[in-house]
Amino acid sequence: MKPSDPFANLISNLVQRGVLKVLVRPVVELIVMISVLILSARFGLSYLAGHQSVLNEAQKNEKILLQKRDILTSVGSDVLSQTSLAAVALPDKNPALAVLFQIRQIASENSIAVSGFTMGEEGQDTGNLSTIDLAFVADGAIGPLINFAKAVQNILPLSEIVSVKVEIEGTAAKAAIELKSFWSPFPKSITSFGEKLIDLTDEDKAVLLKLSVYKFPSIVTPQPNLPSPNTNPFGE
Amino acid sequence: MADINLLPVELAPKGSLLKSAGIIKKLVTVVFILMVLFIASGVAFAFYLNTQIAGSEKRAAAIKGSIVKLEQTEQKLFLLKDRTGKIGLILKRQAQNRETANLETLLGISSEIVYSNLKVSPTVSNVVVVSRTSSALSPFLENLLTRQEYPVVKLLSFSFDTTKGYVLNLEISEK
Repeated sequence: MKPSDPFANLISNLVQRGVLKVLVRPVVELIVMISVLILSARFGLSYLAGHQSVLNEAQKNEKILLQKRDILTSVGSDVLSQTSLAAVALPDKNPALAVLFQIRQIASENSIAVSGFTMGEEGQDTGNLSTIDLAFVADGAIGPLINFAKAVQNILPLSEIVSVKVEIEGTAAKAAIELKSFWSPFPKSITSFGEKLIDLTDEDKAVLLKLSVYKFPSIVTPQPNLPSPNTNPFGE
Repeated sequence: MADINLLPVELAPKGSLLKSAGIIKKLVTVVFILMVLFIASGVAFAFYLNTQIAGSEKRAAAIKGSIVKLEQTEQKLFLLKDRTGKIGLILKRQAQNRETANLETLLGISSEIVYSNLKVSPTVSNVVVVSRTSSALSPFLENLLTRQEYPVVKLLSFSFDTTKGYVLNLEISEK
């Protein structure tokens, strides 16, 4: 160590005055302690924050599941029984045949003759609705014809009258009616466990209530004949 | 035996230095206590969090089990919700749809005239009426024009047929 070096001079001076001996150890201890405190605070807080967010997520998930279970247990069986009504009102497939059946039934109830039933192309409408254009001609007296047209608006599957063209001769009338019937594919998957389940709103219940005045198709499924006992096994 | 300090007096640390060293030592002690307290409370809080997470997950698993049993109800509710939303849209459209109401209203305007052709659609309706006398046409038109649901009435043609009488072709629209 050269005596002319200023740094060496400073150290030598400090050693001579006992500064290093007295101060170095506590200062080093303090620095180490503060460093350890900062490091442990940094890692500890990030660990705790991570676990806190995991807990929040778990509690949120639990709350959603609880709400879902509450809805599912509280929903009335009477409401759920309307699922079939809603599925008939808006089927998952082209309802042209069911609509034709309904029109023929209403026509027969109003003494109206229906002919020239034609089916147009399938289309898409707003709200993910598929449509099918239908047209037919209805003949009859003017009064029953209006009643028939009104009844056609209230059939299930849901249909909308697009236009009515009436030709009148005396009391008889011939109406060319264009209809639009609706359908929509059923949802392919239900909500996952973590997703919130939305209960039926008052609006949904009002919709179901409105449907109750619509004409439900009374399609009878023919039952196969049961085998009858053969009273004469030797006869034909 | 008395302590003998062989060091020169000028090499002994000064009083201010010793005081500073004492303060630093106290600071070290405070920081150490803080660190111990922090670590202890951190470990306790981590334990509490882990317990809470495990409890919440256990409860969620139990609820999931009961939801699985209600799967059919969930499917029905989901389908019902999907259908009612879409049916609501159609019902709204139907409420705005006035075709049959228009038909009924137009036919009920006058009993003295004969309707020949009527075409009602959401935007425009066409009516062809026949009247034997011109006097029957006047109240019909007056009645039609005073109706608020038909603000626009256009006379497309007006002719006279010797066999039928007066023939009026009207276009009626809501806007």
